[in-house]
Amino acid sequence: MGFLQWLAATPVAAWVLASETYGYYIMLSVHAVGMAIVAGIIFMLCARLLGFAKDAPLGVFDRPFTLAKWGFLFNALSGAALFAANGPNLVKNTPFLLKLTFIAIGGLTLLLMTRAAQKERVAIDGGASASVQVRGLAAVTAALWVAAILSGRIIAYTITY
Amino acid sequence: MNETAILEAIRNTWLGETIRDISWTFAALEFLHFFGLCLLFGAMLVVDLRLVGALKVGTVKSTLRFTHLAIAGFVINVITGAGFFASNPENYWQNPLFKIKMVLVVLAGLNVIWFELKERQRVEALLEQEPCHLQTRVVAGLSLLLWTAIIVLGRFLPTLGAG
Repeated sequence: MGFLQWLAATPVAAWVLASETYGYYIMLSVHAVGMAIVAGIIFMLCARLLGFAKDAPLGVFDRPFTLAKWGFLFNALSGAALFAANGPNLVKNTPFLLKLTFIAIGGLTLLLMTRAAQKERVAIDGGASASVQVRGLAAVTAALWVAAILSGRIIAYTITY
Repeated sequence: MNETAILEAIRNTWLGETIRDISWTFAALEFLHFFGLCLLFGAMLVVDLRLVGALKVGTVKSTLRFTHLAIAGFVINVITGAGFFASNPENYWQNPLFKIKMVLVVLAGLNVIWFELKERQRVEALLEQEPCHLQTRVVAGLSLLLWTAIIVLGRFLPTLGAG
């Protein structure tokens, strides 16, 4: 028995697929709220670094960013539960594979962006524009997370259960 | 004009017909609806966390600029939401979860109006790190609760029909 078949036989997968437990909709709801937290806060941070709300110091993102990390954890878990229920079809689904790729690259550019912005923090907090490098990373990061949302939506139209 | 006739009229609008006739439009609107909710919720998090007091950095006035992005997200979602409804009005209207969702959207809107009329002026006068009044914190906490419930209800719509 392969790993994906083993996953599909777990109680979690059974719970997601059973209609009377609403497991599928509960996981979708957690995934949607998590998305709103993670992508929402990333969009706000990117907007700030691109020059929006220049009088807001970067410190206003400290707490939201911690929350976004929790949101990411919740989405990894809810995503894993949804994956367990339909692994064999999802691994062959191009939009799903693209979504994971966008999240991986988008996470990497986010890390590079926050590191680069940290070095310019005093200037940015003072209202100066971020460097071209930081603004470029902000634009790319926002675009990658938009692409992740888009490919996530397309999964719903291309997957079979 | 009775309820059936109104729903029928909405169904027959150009918007409803276009979304039903062109296969990819519904999915495209859904994508925009998700993007809009990220803008709305992300902006409300930054604003409301500052108002609630979970975040003590910066002046309230500076974080309030993010409400512009929340409004942008809200406008996107009202337009795309109207599109979903027009494509199949009867199916949404018979769904109690849809009605609850709309009631919560109205409550969230009233909450925003309350903030603008009663809270904005006094929180804008607050200095850096200064906490908000209890009443403001309740309004901000309510905002986060309402929008979270709205997202969850949206995802549960298909359990009772449309969505």
